[in-house]
Amino acid sequence: MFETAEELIEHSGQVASLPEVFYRVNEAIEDPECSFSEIAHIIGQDSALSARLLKIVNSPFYGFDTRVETITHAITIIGMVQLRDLILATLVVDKFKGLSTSVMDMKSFWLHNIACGLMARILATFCHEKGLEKYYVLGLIHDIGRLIMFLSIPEQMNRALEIARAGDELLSVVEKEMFGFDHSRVGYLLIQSWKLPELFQVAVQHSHDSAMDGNLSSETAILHVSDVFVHALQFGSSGEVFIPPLNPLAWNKLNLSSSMIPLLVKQLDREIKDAVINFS
Amino acid sequence: MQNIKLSEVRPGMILARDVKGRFGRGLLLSGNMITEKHIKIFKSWGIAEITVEQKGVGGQESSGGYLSAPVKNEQELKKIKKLFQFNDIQHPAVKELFQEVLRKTTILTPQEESS
Repeated sequence: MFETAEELIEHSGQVASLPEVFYRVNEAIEDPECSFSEIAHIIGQDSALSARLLKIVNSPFYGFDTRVETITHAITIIGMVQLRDLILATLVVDKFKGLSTSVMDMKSFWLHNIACGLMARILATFCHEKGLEKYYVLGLIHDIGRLIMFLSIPEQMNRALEIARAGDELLSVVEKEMFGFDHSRVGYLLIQSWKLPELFQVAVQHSHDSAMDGNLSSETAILHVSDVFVHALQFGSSGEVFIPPLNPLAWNKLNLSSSMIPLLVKQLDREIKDAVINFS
Repeated sequence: MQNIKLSEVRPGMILARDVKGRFGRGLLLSGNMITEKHIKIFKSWGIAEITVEQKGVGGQESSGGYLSAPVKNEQELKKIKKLFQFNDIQHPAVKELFQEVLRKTTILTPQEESS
C-alpha cells in the first residue's frame, strides 16, 4: 500500500517521460529561429507518428478540400502549437494503449476520455477560445491518474469501486478516504513529471474539485463541464459510478446559455464516431 | 417577454429583443413578427434561444418541473435520477442535461423539430 500519491507514481513505472520527439518539437516551437521545415524534419524522423498525424489531419473533422500529404503542409494549415498538442495526444495514448487491467474495461475508459476531449473542444469553440487542440488533449488525459491507479493498485481500486457502488458515493471521494489522495492528484503529479505546461497540470488537478473558486481558468472550467456532460451522456466510463456534481462557478465561467446544451450534445454525437475510428 | 428555445419558436410570435449572429451581425430587429423563414435563418446561424413578447398560438407552456414530457419507462428514469444524485437538478444547466439524457435514452419522445 502506498502512503502518498508521489510514492504510487514512482512505483507505477510510468514516470519515465514522454518520447523524446515531443520535447524536441516543443523546444523547436519555442525557438523563434526554427522554421516549419525544421520542425517537420524532427517529426518526420518518427515515421509512425507522422503517419498518425497525417491521418488525423486528413480526417473529416478538419474537412480540408485537398489531401494533406506532408507534415510541413500540416503545420502551415493547422499551426505549430495545434500540431504540438496533437502530437501530445497521440503520444500519451500510444503510451497507455496496450495496457490492460481486470478492474477496468480499457475501451470504455478511453471512450470516456475521447468523448471528454471532444466535448471540451466543442465547448471551447462555442466559448470562442483559442488553441482548440489543447482542450482535446486536456480531456484525453484528465483521468490519467485513475488509469495509473487501476494499473498499479488494482485490488484496492476494485474495493474502492465496490464501496462507491454499495455506499452510493462518488469514487473520487472513496479514493480520498481510502488512500488519502484521489486520482486528480496522481494525474497532476504525472503530468508534472512529464513537464507539460502548467495550465495542463492545474486543469487536471482541479477538474473534479468541488471547491473551485472564482479565479478558475477557462481550461479548468471547460474540462470540468465536459467531464460532467460526458458522464451524464454515458460515453464509456471513467470508473466513476455517478455523475460528478456540476460546479455552478465553472458553468458560469463559460457564459453559455443552458439552452445551448442540446446543440452541444448533437455536435458531440456527430464527432464521436470519427474520433473513435481515428483512435484505433 | 420571455426567453424561449428556438425549437419552441412558432411563426407569428413577436420578437422582443434583437437577434444577433455570432459576430454581432444583426439578424432580426425586435418588434418583427417571426416567420418560418426567420426560424430557418436563426437555425442556420446557430441561434439557440430568442426573446419573444408572448408565446402566441401554438407555443406550449412547459410544466416548470424537470420533466416536461411524459415518461415511458419508470425504472429507467429511476436509474438516471440516481446517476444525477450528486447534482443540483434545479440548476438550469443540469436540468437541461437531464432532459438531454432522457431524450437520448428514449425515455422521452424526441422534441419536435421546427424545420
